[in-house]
Amino acid sequence: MDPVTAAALTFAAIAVPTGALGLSIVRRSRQCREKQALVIDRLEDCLTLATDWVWECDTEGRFTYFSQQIETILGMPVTTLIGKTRREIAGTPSSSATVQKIETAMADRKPFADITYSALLPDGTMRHMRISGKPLYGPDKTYIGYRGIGSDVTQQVTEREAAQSAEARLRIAIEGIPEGFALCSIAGIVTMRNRRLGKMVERAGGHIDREPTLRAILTSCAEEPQAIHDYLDAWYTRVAKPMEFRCRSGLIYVARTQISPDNSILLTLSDVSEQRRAQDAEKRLEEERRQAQKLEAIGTLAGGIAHEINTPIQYIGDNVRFVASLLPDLIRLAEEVKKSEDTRSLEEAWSAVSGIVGAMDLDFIAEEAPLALEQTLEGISSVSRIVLAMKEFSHPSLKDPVPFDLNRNIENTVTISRNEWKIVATVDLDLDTTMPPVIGLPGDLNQVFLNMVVNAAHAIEDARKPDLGVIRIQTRQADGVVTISIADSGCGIPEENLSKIFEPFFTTKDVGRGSGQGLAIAHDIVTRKHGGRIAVDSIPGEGTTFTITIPLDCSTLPQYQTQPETLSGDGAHGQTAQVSS
Amino acid sequence: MKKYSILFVDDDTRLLSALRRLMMTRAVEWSCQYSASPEEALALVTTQHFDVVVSDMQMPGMDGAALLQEVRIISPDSIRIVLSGYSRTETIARVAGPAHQYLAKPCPSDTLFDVIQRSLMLREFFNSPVLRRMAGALTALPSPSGKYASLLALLDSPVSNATDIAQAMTGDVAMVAEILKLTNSQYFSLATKVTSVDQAVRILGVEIIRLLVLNVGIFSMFKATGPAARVMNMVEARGLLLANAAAERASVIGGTQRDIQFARIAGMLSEIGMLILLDRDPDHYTLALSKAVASGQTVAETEQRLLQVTHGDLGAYLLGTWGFNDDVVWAVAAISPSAPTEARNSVVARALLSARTLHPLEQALKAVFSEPTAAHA
Repeated sequence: MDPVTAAALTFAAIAVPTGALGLSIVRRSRQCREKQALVIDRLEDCLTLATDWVWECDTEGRFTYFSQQIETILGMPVTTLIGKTRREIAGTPSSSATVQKIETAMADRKPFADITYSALLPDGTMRHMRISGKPLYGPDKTYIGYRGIGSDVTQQVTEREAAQSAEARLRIAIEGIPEGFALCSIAGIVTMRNRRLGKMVERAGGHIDREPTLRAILTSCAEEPQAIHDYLDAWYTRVAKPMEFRCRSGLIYVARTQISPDNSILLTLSDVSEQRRAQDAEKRLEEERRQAQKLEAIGTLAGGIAHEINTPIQYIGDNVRFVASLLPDLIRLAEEVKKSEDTRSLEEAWSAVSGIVGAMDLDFIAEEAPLALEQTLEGISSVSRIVLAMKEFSHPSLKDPVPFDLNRNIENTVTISRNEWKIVATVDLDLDTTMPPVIGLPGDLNQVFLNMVVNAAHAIEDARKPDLGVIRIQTRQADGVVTISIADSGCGIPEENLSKIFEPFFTTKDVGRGSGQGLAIAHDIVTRKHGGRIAVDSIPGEGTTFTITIPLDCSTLPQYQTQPETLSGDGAHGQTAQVSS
Repeated sequence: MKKYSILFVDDDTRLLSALRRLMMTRAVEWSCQYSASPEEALALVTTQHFDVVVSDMQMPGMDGAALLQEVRIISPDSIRIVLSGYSRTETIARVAGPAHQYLAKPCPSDTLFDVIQRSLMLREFFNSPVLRRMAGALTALPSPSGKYASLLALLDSPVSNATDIAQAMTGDVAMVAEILKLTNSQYFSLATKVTSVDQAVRILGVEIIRLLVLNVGIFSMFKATGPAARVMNMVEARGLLLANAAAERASVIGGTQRDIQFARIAGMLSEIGMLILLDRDPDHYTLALSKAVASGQTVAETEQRLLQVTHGDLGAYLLGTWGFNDDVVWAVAAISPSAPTEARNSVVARALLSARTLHPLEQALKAVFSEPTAAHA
C-alpha cells in the first residue's frame, strides 16, 4: 500500500466518528465543520492523486463504487465494472483460489489485506491486483457491504516471477555444468553451488561446511592448503589464472575463479587427473624414447671413442717401454764416465765406455728414441683432445637456453665421432668465423649434430663408392638466423622416403645400427626446442644435405619466457608459476 | 736357431712404429714385419710364411675379420690374433671365427709378448704341418644335429633366457669350447677365468650368442648319419662323462677348486680333436676308428698311422691357440704319444688321465660299433 492511500484511509476512518462527535459539541461545531471540510478536501485529493483505487461493493459482492483512478489504471470505464462481482471481473480460473479467499473473508465479515489476484482484462492483458478491504456497516450497524482499496501490482509480480524463473533456470544451468561450480560473494561466501561441486569436494577428501567459503572449500580439498591460501591471497591483486592443485585423495583439480560484472566470484572446479595421467604417461614414454636414443648414441660413441683412445694409449705404452729399455745402458755409460774422472786411467775408462756403446744399436736408437718420444706426445695430445671434446660434448641437459660456441660444438662432435666416419669419409669444416655466441640448448643440438654426422657416415658407407666420401659441414649466420648444413656424398634418400624420415621409428637401417628415432628427435629439438627448421635435400646416389636453421637467440621463444609471477617475487610466485606451467 | 716370423697389421702408422721399437727387444728370436694396409698384408701373406699374424680390427677397405678370414684360407697354419681398440661385443663376435685370440688395446706389452710366445711354443711342440693346417683351417666346430637344432629353437624363441641357453649348450663339446674361448679372451679382461657355461652365457649375453650362432656360424650342424653320427653322439656323451669323472679325480687327489674346474673343462673337451676329424671326413674317420677297435690298436696309434695326427694333439693345439689354460691344454694332449712327461704332472692332467683310464675310449667305441642299430638318438 502506498503512503498516500494509507493516509486517505486513515482520514476516512477518522471522518466518520468526528462527524458523530460534532453533533454533541455545539460550541465547537463551526470550527469542526471547517475542519471536517478540510479533511474531506484532503481526502478527495488523496483519492484522486493515489495510484490505488477505492472500491465498494454490496452484500452480494457486486461492486457499487470505484474511485476514478481505476479507469486510468485498468483502462476500463467505471460503468462497465459497476454491478459485477470480483469473480466476473477476474475472468480467469487461475485466480479463483485467491478470489475464493476474498469471498471467504467477506462471508465472515472479516477485514482482509494485501490479497493479490489476477484478472484477465477484455483487452487480453493479465493484471495483478492487490486488494485490501473491510466490512462496511450502516448507521444502524447493519452490514451493507465492503469498502477497500486496490492497486495494480502487475509490474512487481511479473518482475518477481521473472526473477524466480531466472533463478530456476540458473539452477538448472549450474547443475548442468560438467564441473563443480559455486557462486560466491566478493568476500568469498558461497551463495549458490551445484551438486557436482559437493561430490568433487567429497572425492577430493575435502568437505563443505554449513556456511562455506571459497577458501574453506578449496583448502579442505588441497594436499597443500598453503598453496590455496597463497593463490587466493594473490588473487585480488592480479588477473586470476587457473590454479592446479593436488587433492588429499591424489586427484588433480584445477580451480578457476573469475569476477562477474555484479562483483560475485564464480568458481569452477574441474578434475584433470585423467588428462594429467595421460599426459604424464605420454611424457614418460617420450622421455624413455629419448633416453633410449641417447643411450644408443652413447653406446655407439663410447665404442668409437674407446677405439680412438685405446690406439694412442697402446703406442704410448709401447714407446715408453722402448725408451725405458734404453735407459740402463745410458745410465751405465754415465756411471763409467763418472768413475773415470777420479780413479781409472783414460785408457781403461775408454774401453769400458766403448764396450757399452758398441753393444748399443746406436743408429737405431738415435733415429727411433726421439721419434718414440715425439709420437708419445702426439698420442697424449690426441687422447687429451678426445677427452676434452667428450667433456664439452656431454653438456648436461639444460631446460633454458644458454649462450654457447656453435662452431666449437660442431668441432667437438666431429672429433668424438671420428671413429664413425674416418674409415669411409673425410670431414670438411667450413665454419663461419664471425659466428657470435648462439643462445640455445647446446647438449640437445650436439645430439642433433652427432646424429647427422653418423647418418652421413652410414650413408657414405652404404653408397659403397670406391673413393673416400666427404661430409661437409657449414655454418653461417645472418639477420639473427643461424644456418648449419651437413652434406654427405652418400647413397641419398629415395624420394618415397623423404617425407617419412622425421617420423619416429622410421628406419631403413639394419637392426643395431639405428632405431629410427634419431631424426625424429633431431626434428623435435630443432623445431620445438629452438623454433627452427630442418630441411632435407637429397639426390639418390649422389648425397643428402640437411639444413638446420635456428634463431641466433632462441631464449625469446614463448616457451622460455618466464611468467610475470616469477618476476614479481612475492611469496606466492612458486605456486602461481606452477599453475601456469 | 730358426727365427719365427710375425706380421703386424694396423692402419695407424704410429702404432706400428711403436710396435717396431718394442719388438727390437725380441729381434734375436723374432723377425717382425709391419703393414699399414690390409691389402698389402694380404700380399705379404701370399708370398711369405708367417707363424703369427696380429691384426687391428677396424681398417679402411678391409677390416681385421675379413683379413684374417683370407689369411685362414691362404695360410691356414698361421696363428691369427686380433689386437683391437674396439670395445663392442659385436666386434668380438665377428672375429670369433677367423681369429684364434682377441686382444684388446691397450694391451700391455708383456701380455702381447706372452700371447705371441705361447703361440710359438705351441707350434714348436705340435710341429706337425698336417696338424697345424687341420686346426688352422677349422671354421666351425660341429654339434650333433639334435643339439644344434634345439639351440637354434631356443635362440629363435623370444622368451628363452640365459639359463635355458646355458643348459642347452652345457652338454655339447663344441659349444662349450667356443663359448669358453670367447669369454676367456683378453677382451673381457676378467680377473678369473670363466669355467662354467652358465657364467659364459651370462657374460656374452643372449644377443651375442644369437649373433655368434646365427650370423657368424661358430657352430655347424653335424649332418652325417649312420655310424659317424653314432660316433658323434658317443663323443658328446663322453664329454660329460669325462668332465664329471675328471673333476671327481681332481678332487680325490687333492686338487684346488681351480684344479677341479679346469679338470671338468679338460674332461669335457678332451676328445674335441675327434670332432674336427669327424667333421672333416666322417666316413673315413669312422672307418679308421672301427679298424682300431677291430685290430685292438689304440685310437691314437691308428690316427697317427692313417692321418699323421692324433685327435689329442689336434685338440690340445686348438685349445692352446685359443688361449685356454695351459693345464687344460697339456691335459688334453697327455694321451698323445708325443706328449712330454712334464705335461702329465699337473693335477688336471693326472685327473683327466685317470678318468680316461677308467673309461677307455676304445671301449666306448667298441660299444658304438657292436650295436649298429641302437644309436639313432
